[in-house]
Amino acid sequence: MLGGADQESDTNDTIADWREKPVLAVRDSEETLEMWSRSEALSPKLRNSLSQANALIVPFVGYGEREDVRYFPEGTEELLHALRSRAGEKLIADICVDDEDYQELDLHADELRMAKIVFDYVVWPIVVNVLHDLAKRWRSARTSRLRVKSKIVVTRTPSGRSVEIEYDGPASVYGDSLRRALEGIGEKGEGTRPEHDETPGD
Amino acid sequence: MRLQEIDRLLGEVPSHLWRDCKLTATAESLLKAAKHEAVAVGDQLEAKRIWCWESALKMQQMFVAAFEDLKDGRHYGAWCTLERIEIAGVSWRRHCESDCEAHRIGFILRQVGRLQALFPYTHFISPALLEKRMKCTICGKEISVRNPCGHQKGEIYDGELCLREVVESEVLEVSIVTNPVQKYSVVFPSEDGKKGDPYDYTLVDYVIRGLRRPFDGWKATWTKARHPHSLYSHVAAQDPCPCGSGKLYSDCCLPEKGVLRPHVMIEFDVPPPDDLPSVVLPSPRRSS
Repeated sequence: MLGGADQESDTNDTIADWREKPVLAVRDSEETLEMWSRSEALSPKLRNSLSQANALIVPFVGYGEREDVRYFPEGTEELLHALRSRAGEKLIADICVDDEDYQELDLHADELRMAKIVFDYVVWPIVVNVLHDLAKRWRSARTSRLRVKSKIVVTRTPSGRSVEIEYDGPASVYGDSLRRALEGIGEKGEGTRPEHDETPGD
Repeated sequence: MRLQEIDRLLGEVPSHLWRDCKLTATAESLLKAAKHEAVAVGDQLEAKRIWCWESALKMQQMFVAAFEDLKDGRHYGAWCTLERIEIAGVSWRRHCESDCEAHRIGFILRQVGRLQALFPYTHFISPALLEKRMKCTICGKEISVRNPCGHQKGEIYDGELCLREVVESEVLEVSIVTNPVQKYSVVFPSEDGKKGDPYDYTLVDYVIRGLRRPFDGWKATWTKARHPHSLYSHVAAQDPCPCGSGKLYSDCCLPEKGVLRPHVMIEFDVPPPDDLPSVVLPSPRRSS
């Protein structure tokens, strides 16, 4: 036994500080698939080919003082492969970058940072299933306490607007949290909901 | 030695045998030859199975090495080895789950996590690395995200793990973090400008002293308990409370029976040596 006497509580404290509560933020967005597929950062040939896509993996733009840098997180290759493997179910997935410009940013934290995806509302069940499966696989390979950070933009929602959904929390409830948020958008037909935070029940 | 013999040895976890360089070299060359044969006849499943055995052998060797480093007081070296096992375990879990308990890898990975939790390291140096060009370790082709080579990172091909070799990168920044991707870069604060190791390894030393062999089981239960005020005699009543609450000592733990601090109960599967004390306390100067 280590430590002194008079044990008081059972807190399961460990060195790792783990924030259990997931945060889900839903807010209006100005982003559209067209905006990304017509980006001047892309070659004319790629711009033309991306115009068919209804799901685009898009780069994060800017890092600290480097406002020009465009990058994708680790795991983007795997995500694109998983999305493309579901092609044929209404999904046309692509990545918004020319080959020679593709670069990954290896970040500090031991967490799964998903690539940002912009997609049409009509394909959300397929995209969310892919994200859920990916998070599940990484969680089983790494740690049950794996944390996910993700940002998706859903375009052409029932209200016609784009909605951004940002998630920061455990991988275990990631897919369910996205599903609930998207079902909510469908039921209410809203894209104008003001930004708010939710803490899913499970 | 035959393949079945290696399988048996991996199951029995002969920690003393893996110290035998000749035996290890024999096992490694036998596995390599068997994998070569499997690849030659296109048996990818067998090649993958042999990769699992090779990985098991390496992880067992590393676990024994980390245990011996800790017995000899080489804490940071052991920490780095435990990190290598943890990283190897990610691919292992993905591909070799069925062998997990048979080769004691499940045990090793659980114990690695438990040992890491006992270390006092909390802050790490971590670079944000922009990886501009990468190559596939299977075919050597440069990574093209739009026209992939067909080898998926993390999969096994011809008995080899597919990785990405970074050939051009740029460090955007370096930060001090608490939950890094890799935990090698421990921050060692210097005292009075002198290099050294200021950390208190009481917890991990206690467990290692209590273990007779690396594959003896143990577990820790983390709670909180009141530590005697005598340990904190150097703290004045008007100083911040050593429990870390942010209140004054006089307004927090001083009126109580002791200072509320993390408390760890260790249970050993095999009775520890008789000279192991039932209670140890961290060094007071380094514990606050």
